[in-house]
Amino acid sequence: MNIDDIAALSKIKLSEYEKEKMIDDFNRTIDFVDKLKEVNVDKVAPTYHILHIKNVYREDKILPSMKQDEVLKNAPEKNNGYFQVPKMME
Amino acid sequence: MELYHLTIHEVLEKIRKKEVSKQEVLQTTVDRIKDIDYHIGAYLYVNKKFHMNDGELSGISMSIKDNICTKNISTTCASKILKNFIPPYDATVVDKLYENGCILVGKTNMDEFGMGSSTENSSFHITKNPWNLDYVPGGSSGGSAASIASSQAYFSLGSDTGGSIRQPSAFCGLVGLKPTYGLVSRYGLIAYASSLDQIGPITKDVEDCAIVLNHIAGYDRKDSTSFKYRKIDYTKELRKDIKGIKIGIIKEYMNESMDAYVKKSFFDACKKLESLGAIVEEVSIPHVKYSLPTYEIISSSECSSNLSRFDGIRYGVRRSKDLLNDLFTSTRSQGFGEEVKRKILLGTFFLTADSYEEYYERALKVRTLIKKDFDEAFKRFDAMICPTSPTLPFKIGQRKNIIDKYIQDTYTVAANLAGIPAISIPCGCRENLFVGLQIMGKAFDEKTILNISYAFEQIHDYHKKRPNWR
Repeated sequence: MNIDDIAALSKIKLSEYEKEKMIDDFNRTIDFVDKLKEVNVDKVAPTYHILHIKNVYREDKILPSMKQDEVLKNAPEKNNGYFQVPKMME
Repeated sequence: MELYHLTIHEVLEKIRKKEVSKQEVLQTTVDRIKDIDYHIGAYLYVNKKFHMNDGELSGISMSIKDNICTKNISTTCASKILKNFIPPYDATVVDKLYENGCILVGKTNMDEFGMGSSTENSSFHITKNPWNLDYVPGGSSGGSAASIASSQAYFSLGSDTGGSIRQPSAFCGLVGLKPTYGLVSRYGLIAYASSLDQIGPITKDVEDCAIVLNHIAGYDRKDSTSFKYRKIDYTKELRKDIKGIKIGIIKEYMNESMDAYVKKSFFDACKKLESLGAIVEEVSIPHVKYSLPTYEIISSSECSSNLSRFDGIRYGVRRSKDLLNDLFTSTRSQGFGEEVKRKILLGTFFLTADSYEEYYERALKVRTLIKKDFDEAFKRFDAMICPTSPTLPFKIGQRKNIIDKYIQDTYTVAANLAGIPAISIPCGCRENLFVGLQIMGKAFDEKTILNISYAFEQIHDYHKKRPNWR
């Protein structure tokens, strides 16, 4: 595990000092959670979710939704009814 | 007692008898906030424009944790990344409370995105414990708890991922309930760990808790994880005799290190419950000792996934203008605080292909075992008890070590992992530092834990205490 790789995947850039502290916390936390390795989990199914609700459907009916200007209200930059982002490719 | 110090049911009674007007009730809260929040810092935003509907709770002022969306009112999660966020919609719970006449007086401080147990992780300011200003109010719903303990609203809504309603309620001498997963809609709650998060009330007494729960519980088509369950009036069976109710003391928890006064208060509470006719026995939940590491893995993993939406595109603060990748990284690096970054990085690590099986999936399997243990124990018991926190409230700035911080959640995370309801009620107080008793129940059986809580409350006077402010 390399902290720079994890930070890159998380889209977070750490300062050198943040990195130092983060490595320390990481090591302690990994030690702490490694306790789970003593549990026998053979043939145990994982619980992703406590309620076993599957595929919640609704009738295919148009219901009121938010207005476009409300949806865009919080956008840092918008243009002509769109969210504006920097250029993605040349 | 001053009007602002009263409970919801007392105020409603006064309004009904026309001893006070709804306007007076609102004004007393507004004045109270002006007078004392400067000392406490419970609020991130104080509302000025009020609208009051006619309804069962008409006239009751409420505060709402700042991770629950309120239309046209700033909702920041106490994070710089959402500093300018004004939701275009109300969370379902807020909508329901408005409809019933509640008035929003302000949005309360919290640990950023709900990550923390002291409210010291807010990006904006700290909140003090109204009972003793040198101490933390607990967290992450610390602002909510502080606002109620200092009578700056009649009730508050918090959110609880691993104890964030119960622990601050315990630290502030209040009643806090984390309902069963799925009982209360999460639509409009800004997600931290979706399979654990629940919204619930923080109130001055148990009856108020039942009243608020009555108004927020129920299926919501906008939350696909909300559950269709029959409607219950939680105030109805509060006064039932608890004779013969079977309560389990979770044995494994008693081995964990615990403050001596917390332990004494807890065992006293067990005796009191017995004196009320309850049958109190030890019960074993063998895997409960693994709940903290299980919780740490699951909550971090879900957090890293949920918080990926904060990218500076659709809402929140945007940093840098040039390249898209740069925009994401700058926005997130400058917008998130230290604890949030730590959780995101940890979660990202647990979910990498190399660690997925070793950590994430293993934690989900242990979660299954913990839930099974509870299911098994609930065949013989109606409720389980333990302290809410292993410690008394601690001083501001005292907890720095990462493992020390985890310890706060020792007794609370299991209820989130198992999806069951859990309430904290006061059971001890020494020099204005409160101890909470946690009562856990079967899924969707809030009425039993409220019933036990009410019976316990009646033979104490914690719910009548108010901090002595000038």
